[in-house]
Amino acid sequence: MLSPKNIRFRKVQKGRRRGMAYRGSKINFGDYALQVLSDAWITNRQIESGRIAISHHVKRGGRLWIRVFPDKPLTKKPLETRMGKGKGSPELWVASVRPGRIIYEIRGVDEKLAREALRRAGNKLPVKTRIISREDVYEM
Amino acid sequence: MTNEFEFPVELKEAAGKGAARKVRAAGMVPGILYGHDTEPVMVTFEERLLVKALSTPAGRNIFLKFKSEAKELDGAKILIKDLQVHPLKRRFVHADFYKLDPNRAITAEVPLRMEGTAVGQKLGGILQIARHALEVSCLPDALPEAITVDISSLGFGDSIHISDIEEPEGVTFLQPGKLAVCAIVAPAASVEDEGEVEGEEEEVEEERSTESEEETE
Repeated sequence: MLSPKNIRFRKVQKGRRRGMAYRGSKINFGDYALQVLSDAWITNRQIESGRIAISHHVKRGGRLWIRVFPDKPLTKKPLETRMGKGKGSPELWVASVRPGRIIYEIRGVDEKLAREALRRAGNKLPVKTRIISREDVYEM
Repeated sequence: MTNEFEFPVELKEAAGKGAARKVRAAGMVPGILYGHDTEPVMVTFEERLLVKALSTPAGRNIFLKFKSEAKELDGAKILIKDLQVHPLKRRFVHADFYKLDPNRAITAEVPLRMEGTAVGQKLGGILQIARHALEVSCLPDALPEAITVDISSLGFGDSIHISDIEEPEGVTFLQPGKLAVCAIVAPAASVEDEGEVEGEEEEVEEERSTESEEETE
């Protein structure tokens, strides 16, 4: 599962996800890509689950790029704990994504297979997604 | 050679984001025309016409022939220099047009087309494309639609560099010849998690882009 190797701060503030993803919103590596349509925190488990969905569907050949990295630690307080007494301990890693961000890119497989694989991966994510292609005039 | 596409445009009077937003609200797209020894001129155009122009085989490297009531715009031969796209709505937000001078060399990106199936691919290798387009310099009339690269002789581990590609007549490649264009690589062994289904082999390679590390929120 994806997570940072080294971190400077164990806990970070929540932050806000304003605006759109101007960076990372164009296809750079593959021929087909999965793009998110709303903002979200995508956990490393969800990213991994989507990756597995793609690789199981494609079976052989092709190449996959994961364009997001879960570098934000989320904390949780233990169950049945009274409020206060400080911030909880880090529990999971998330990638903070804004609308328009590309999550996966794939190439080396035919269009039908790539689209179905990305659709399956999209089902693993907590956001609405769409599939875009390099041949699209908006990607030129 | 790249074809010409008749492209009706109108002059845009007001500058600034307010004016640009009004243009977009009216279903048009704002743009700017510039070139050597030419004063920049603001224009507006219909998005569907740009989509139509880009849908031709020449893609971004199509020459537009401006059609307008404004004298400074009418008949100008244009190359699309830059396009801004709304990341979510998938609409053009702005376009830069470059006025061509037939005697002045231009710099453009020409797409690469891989031809054939490599020997290495038949043996199970994966074609890894490092570059989808090449930066070239040439006179406008010599601008090719695409540069074809024959990959049929590539075996496992072989690669093609820019220096291996023959320059079309009148065209100069601007990037160093040592840069790779494509390679045939062996499919990487699967990197499955322990919790995954056992005994299932995977050949889908994974690679985290360096770009993903850029964004730290």
